[in-house]
Amino acid sequence: MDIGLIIVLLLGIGIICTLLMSIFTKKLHRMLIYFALANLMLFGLLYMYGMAIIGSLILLANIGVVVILIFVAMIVGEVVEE
Amino acid sequence: MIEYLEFSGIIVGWTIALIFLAFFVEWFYRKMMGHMQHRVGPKLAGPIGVLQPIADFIKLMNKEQISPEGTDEFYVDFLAVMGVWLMIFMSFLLPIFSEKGLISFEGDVIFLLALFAVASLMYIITPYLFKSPYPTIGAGRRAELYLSYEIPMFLALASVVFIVGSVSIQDVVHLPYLTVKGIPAVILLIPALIITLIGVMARVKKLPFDIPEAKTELAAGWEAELSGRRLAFFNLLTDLKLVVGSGVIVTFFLGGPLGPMPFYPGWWWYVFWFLVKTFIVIFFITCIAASVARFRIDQVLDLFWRKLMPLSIVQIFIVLWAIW
Repeated sequence: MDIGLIIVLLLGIGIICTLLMSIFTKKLHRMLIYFALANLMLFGLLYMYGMAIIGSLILLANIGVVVILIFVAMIVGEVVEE
Repeated sequence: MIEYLEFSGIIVGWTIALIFLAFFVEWFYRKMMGHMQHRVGPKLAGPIGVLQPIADFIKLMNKEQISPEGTDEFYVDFLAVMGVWLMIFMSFLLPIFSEKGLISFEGDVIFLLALFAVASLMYIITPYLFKSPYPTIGAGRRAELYLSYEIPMFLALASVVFIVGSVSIQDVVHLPYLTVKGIPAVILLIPALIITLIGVMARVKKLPFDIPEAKTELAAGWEAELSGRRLAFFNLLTDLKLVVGSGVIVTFFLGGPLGPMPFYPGWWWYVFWFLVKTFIVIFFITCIAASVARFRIDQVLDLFWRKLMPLSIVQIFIVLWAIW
């Protein structure tokens, strides 16, 4: 087993673990951190297969989604408080 | 094996140099701000106060950490370290030692922008980990700021990519030598340069865009509950962001490390030109910060959504006309 395959396996396991953690955690900020980490690892995985551009675009788009999620959560929180 | 060790040595050496460069930039910024506001600025630690940021960092590292009850301690530390690590990693993509970065691949321009966005996320998530009102308000403002500057800045940098016709940094650095329809490409991209400069200032939260911390109204806002090592790391992260943000402007618009090499051409010329251009950009940012008062959040939204957003779309059309 060469080093590239080991890295791909580790990244794959890492993505699954962080996604599962983001699903089962009860706190929003932890969910977002795990989701961001999963995206970084997904970029690593795609980079290994020569698809760095697609990986970068996915990362960029998903980080935007995370920020919008925070923003919406904040507004919803304010409305609920009021 | 020797190549691998050599590469590791360069990475470690550059990481240490970058951290000291970030401290130096902080001193430069504070000293310049001081002179522009008729103050002395840092002057006690080291010659003309040049060691003051390092002294501040060491002091903060030794201070006690206090945080409100119920704080998610582990994740605050994790995000502080992660933010610094991301900025250091971003600097590996910048063309400092040659026409391409220490790490280079097809599409590194997009990855650079994506990493910039991830680093901004640290500032937004961290304040939520404290159960305290001021950081939460600061985080909300940070999120609003992010959603305002991200799209115009992305469109501005996309126009550079369109005109160069490549998503590789080693092609983007040749922009100043490019002519389209008889017009220098840099002239066509002046609106994009202005948008990116303002966007980088908003990213690093320098005046007039320091609304997330707004010391006089929000008691330091998002960083109100940071203390000790965490504050030291977040201050370092802000300094690194200023260096890397200025480096991004230099890479996209000012030819990166390219410049005249009158005698003994070598990698040190690339470093020299890159640093000179970076400090010119930082000086420019400092001048704006010293002369403009802080915006209100509605003024920032107005600036980005009603003025810079249409300008960035006009820029895209100019570029499309040029490359048609």
